[in-house]
Amino acid sequence: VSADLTQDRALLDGFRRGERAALERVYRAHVDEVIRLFRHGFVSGEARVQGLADLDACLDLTQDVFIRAFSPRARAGYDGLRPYGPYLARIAKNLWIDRLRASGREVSLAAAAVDDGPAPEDHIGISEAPEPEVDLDRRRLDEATRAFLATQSEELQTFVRLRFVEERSQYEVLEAMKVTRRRVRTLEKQALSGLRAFLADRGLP
Amino acid sequence: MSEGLSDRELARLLSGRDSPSALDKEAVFERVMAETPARRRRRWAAFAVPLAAAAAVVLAVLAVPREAAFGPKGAGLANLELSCVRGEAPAPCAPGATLVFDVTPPAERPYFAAFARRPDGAIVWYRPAPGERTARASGVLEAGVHLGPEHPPGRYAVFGVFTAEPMARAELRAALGDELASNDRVTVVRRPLEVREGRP
Repeated sequence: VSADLTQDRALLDGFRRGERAALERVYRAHVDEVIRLFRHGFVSGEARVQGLADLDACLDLTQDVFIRAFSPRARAGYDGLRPYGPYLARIAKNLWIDRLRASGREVSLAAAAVDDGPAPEDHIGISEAPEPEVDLDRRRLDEATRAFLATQSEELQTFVRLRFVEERSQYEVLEAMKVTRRRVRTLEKQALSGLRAFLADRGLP
Repeated sequence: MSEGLSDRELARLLSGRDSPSALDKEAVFERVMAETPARRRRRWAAFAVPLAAAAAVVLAVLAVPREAAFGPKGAGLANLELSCVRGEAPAPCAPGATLVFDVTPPAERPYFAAFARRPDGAIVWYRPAPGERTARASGVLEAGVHLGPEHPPGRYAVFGVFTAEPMARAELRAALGDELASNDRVTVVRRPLEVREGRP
């Protein structure tokens, strides 16, 4: 998703006004960066903040980051000149550090002052923490999901690829598949309820 | 049992990745939007400029050096956006159009004043009206400014001034000084405005 606030003046204006379409474009362009930061942790100076294995905890933090970043004050505070990603990452890091401190976990001073600059490119410093270990239940579920998809129509497989693998919106999917919104909703329901029934038949998980 | 898997968990399986799914992210976005106030939407029909507001556009020629610059100090998170409308529709800023202010005051300085410096160096006051003090302002202001004969075509500099207390024009002049810049009493936001040729 392209959403360059430094190049697209109309997008920047809509973003500053808090227009949903503009905020959604910015969100979709950056949400993966924020989630990745929480999953893998980050380094700042000599300090390293460990990533979170719990996806829901990552999502909760991600939600709070965007609530903070999309507040009127933060929108007005973004100058539209520097890339938005590093600006957002600073908000994420500072929020996380605040949470760690509030929970009583020690945070080194080196990580406690994520400042405004200077080089956007070196802000991320995401540590290369290993992926959480995939457990056996997950493997069985993945195998069953693949088996389920293999039995489905070409249309449903296409839908799953666009909607869940490529993570397109329902609107983008209906445009790509040239079907109605109602059809897209039906396909989504078929995919989810079909997989649920398929897993239940096999006593999974 | 698998009946316990939510749609979001099933979507993660369908994605083939052990990471948040499209449904997860869309759910987060909806919760973010529920907590995100949009700026007040423009209601074009409400921009019929009251006569009193139009009358408040008074020329006041001050001894302002044209090279006076506004520094960033104290600008904080204040913001001022300008646009023009004609009737209910967006329009070029030209004679006959209405200049609309979209104001974001800093939290500690909610009172708003505005004026412009014309191409010839003259100052055109927008608010407060003569003899009045500034009022709190935020969002798109209901009363715009009719661009009449006092706005000949050319490049203007429009200044939004934010203060902690209500101020009259004389107090604002004193607080701004010759620098017309942010200081310990005022926060100043400067925006360019080009008034184009056109018929009223």
